[in-house]
Amino acid sequence: MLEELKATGQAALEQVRAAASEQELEELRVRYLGRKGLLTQMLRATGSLPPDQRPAFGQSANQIKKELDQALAEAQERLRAQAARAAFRPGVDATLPGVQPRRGHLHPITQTERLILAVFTRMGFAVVESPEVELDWYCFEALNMPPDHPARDMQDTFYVQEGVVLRTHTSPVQVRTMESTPPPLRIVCPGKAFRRDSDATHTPMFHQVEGLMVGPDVSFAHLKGVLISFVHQVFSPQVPVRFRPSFFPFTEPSAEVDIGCVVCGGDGCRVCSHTGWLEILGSGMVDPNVFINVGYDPDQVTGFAFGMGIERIAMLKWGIDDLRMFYDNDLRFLRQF
Amino acid sequence: MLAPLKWLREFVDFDLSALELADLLTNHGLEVEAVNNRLAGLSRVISAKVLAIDPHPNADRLHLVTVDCGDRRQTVVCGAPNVCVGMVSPLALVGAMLGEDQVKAVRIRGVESQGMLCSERDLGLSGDHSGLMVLDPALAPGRTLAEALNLETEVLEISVTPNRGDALSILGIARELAALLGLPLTMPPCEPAEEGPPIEGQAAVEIIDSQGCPRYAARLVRGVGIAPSPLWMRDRLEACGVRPINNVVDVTNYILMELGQPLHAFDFKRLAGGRIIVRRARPGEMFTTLDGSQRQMPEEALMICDAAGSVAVAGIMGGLNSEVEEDTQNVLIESAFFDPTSIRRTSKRLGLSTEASYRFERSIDISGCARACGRAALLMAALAGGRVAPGIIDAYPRPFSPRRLELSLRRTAAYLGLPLSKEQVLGPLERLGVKIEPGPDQDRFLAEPPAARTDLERPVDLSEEVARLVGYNNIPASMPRAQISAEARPWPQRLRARVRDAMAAQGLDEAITYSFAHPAAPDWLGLAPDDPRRRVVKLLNPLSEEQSVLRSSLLPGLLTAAARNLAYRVADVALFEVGKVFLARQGEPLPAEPTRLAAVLSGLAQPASWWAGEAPVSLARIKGAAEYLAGALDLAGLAFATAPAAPPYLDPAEWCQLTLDGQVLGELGRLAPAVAKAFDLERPTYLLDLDFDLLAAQAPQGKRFQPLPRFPEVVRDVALVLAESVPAGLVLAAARSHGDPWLKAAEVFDLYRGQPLAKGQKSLGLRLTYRAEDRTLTEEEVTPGYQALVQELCRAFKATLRT
Repeated sequence: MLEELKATGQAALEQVRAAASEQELEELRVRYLGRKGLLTQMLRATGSLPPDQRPAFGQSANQIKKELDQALAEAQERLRAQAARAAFRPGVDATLPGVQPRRGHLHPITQTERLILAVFTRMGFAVVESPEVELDWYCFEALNMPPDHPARDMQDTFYVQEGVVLRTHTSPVQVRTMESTPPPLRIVCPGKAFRRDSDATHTPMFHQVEGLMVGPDVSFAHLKGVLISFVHQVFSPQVPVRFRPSFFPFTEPSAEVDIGCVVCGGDGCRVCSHTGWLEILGSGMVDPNVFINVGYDPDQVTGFAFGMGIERIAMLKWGIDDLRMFYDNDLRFLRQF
Repeated sequence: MLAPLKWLREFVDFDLSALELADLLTNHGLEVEAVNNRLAGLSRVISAKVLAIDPHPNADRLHLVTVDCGDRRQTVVCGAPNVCVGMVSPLALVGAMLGEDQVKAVRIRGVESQGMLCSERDLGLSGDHSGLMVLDPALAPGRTLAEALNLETEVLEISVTPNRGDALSILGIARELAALLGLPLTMPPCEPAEEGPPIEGQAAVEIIDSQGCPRYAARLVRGVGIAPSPLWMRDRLEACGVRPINNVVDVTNYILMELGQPLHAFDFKRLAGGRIIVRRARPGEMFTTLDGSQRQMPEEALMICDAAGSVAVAGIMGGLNSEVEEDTQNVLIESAFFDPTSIRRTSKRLGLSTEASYRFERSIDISGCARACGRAALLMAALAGGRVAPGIIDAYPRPFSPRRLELSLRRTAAYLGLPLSKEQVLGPLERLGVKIEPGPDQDRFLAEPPAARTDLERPVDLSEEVARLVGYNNIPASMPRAQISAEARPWPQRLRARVRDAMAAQGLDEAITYSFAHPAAPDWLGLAPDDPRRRVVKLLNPLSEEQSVLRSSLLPGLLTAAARNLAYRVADVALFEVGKVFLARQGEPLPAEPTRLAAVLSGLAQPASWWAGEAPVSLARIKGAAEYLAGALDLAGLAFATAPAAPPYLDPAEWCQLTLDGQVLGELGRLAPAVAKAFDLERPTYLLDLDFDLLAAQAPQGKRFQPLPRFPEVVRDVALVLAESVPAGLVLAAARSHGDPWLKAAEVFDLYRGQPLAKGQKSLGLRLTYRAEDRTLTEEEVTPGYQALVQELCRAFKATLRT
């Protein structure tokens, strides 16, 4: 009986492994493992064996059934793959390009501006805009830069007429907003600015985002908190940030913000002039004179302001090495972003 | 500002490397832009003592000189006339760089010379080439030259902000360092030994304009001999970027660099009456400055005069008529304080900026005038052999009165967001020379800044000093508390983003072109004389003719960008820009700044591909761009129409005007050939120019959901043959307004011209969609209405059915 079982099992395995179609396979399954199948019947007959032979027979029978199940599954898989290969029609070239509509691109400055504004709007800053051709008062005087002040040398200005300039920064937006809105406030001001300067590192037109927060107890520590958060969101939480004393007529104290060089990681390279640091924005506590000029009481409110060049952030983020690329509108450049 | 390190060290005995010093200064307010190493080429030049001189075997005028190099002896060939045993001279070893030339081992007349004994000119230290440079015979051999002569090798390049005029000197930077490091500041000697008759009685100073000149100190030095300055002084001046001239002038420049006090040295015998008078320039006054140019003095210019006339432009430049010359014997030293604003105005008016005017503009230390004058006299006596007349003239009509600022510990700490002890606030200020006195209570003090720090005017300025000295990086960072903001971005900003997205989504690339334009740009577009876009805003001080006005249209910039791309061989150009244009307004200082949207297409509408043919850009494509935009912005009332008067830059045969609810939104069409030529655009170019502000005003800010149809539709297609001149839009409008309540849509699905149609005829394929809201329509139900409509269209447009 046991020998017969083993012989039947062996025959079944061989037939299954040799099966040439899924139909044949199904027939074999029925023949051996179906309700009336040969192996099924033998297993049913276990009860008729002498008790001492039953365990060995049962064990073998189960073993054979398991092997056969596995052989069936393998055969099935083999036959399916065979069928798929047979169904393949030559003539499809998957390496030919597909059909896609032309992809348009937003200018990298637009994309970077959106990135910057997203960070500040998340922190509750409102986005405000104002004219690009400005009165001297809004561009300079209200910002604590009286005529004949050496600080005016820092920004070479385009004049339209006496007292009318192309704004050299977007700070006039801050003045106009403070004039019309009582504190507290939190604003960012994106837009174009113009300086009479054109060389490898300056274009006569550029883009800025400036920001301002005014409230009853805004401190230098808050300035640091907000700007460090900005850097970490735009670059990476691992980037080191450094604050360095500087001078702007409209802030006191003033600080330049440097980040660890994103190119060399701080070891020193050409991009960071071997200092390991990159200047990315200017900032400071709003000078009390500015508050007085817009009708705020500097004894009641304090505030911080900051400003950055969008081009600068874009260059650092994408490794762009020539500022002038932004205004060439070379499609080979624009289509990279 | 260039600050040589050894000079700094005379004032503060710091123990830091140049790089550490640079970091320290940068982190506390004086940004060091670079640490320059000078005289690097001389690092292989050493002091060498001459031990023996032997004749050269093959040349009469050359010697073989054996020198002691400290650790060894060597023999070099030398032809200098002054070489003698026992002298110490500089020896350039093989590899040293002398100017552009590298010293190499050479054979001179058959004898090898490992190096070269040098003259001052060889080393670039002066023009003296009369013989070997003679060093102190007590100098040990083998020391590098820079070390042996105490030359300045390391120089900090410091970017001093406009508020820190006090830091434009070695003394100023040293003062800062002393405060940062808590080290004492050592002042150099400033009291000269005096002899002879006193200055009083020989010279006099009269200040007529005390507003412009609150202080004028003067000293007289007699019997100077004009000669070149000693090496150490020339070296320091050169390290600071100043060209040495002679001992007297060099002393004035040296003090300028050292103490930040600009000085002027007058040849005393050329001062008529021995008098100095400080007054404003006479109307139309002409004056020749010592650079030899004759200048007309602005009216407010402050002049230094003698009894006869002007001798210097105060604080800016001396006059040719009083400058120190080769034969000068007696020198009057001016050490004055001039009003910063007055100097700045005159300097700007004259277009003349000097080291002196740069410092006066930023204000100098009014308390230091007499001290600087004394130090200059002392150095002139030492270097030029002069005798300093006893006494000093110190005309000081407007004495410095120190400001007293109220300083609150609590407010300072709150402003910086940093808990600070009394010592942490007062300590840094006192180290900067601010005098502190107790105030009305425990929290408040009275602070009196030193005269040099004219930038410390208000309590907040003191907070900055505390923050600087504590170090910005030692102030904690924290997030502010504020009310949650609930404001949405203003609608025009949101719409602008949607416009940009919609244009990019249909395959156009965004350009940003300069807001500047060529004044001839309106001509290039062929604009009419009364076109509002001719009211350009002109710049008073443009960078160039091409950028001398502000743009009144986006088109010239975009067309130029398109042409540039074609020149770069980028075949298919699809550019758009959203930006402001500028139109001058009569009687208004500020121009109008409308925002516009423009696009330019050239080349293929889609990239050429293997699966479809080439479709070049067309009127349909540019119109599609406008329609796509209208869809993206949910614009309902957008209409397109041709009119007889095309804009001059569009082809009258291929253009249309866009209106939005009856208002002109802009136009689109093919660029007129003449304009295309002006912009170097050879291939067909299509453009679009829209009024963004009108879009923002008219675009709906929300939309309503339309229920989906519950019953199927019946579609009928019909082809009408009609005259070419009948616009499709008119036929569609007639169909839509026909009045059949079941007719839900009428669209053009086909357009055909050619055989078998007659010339001047076209076949317009219309797709009519019928649907009822309450049941499924049958073909039979639709038919009567359909037939009535077709009949009506045939009648109205003289059309026939195409069979």
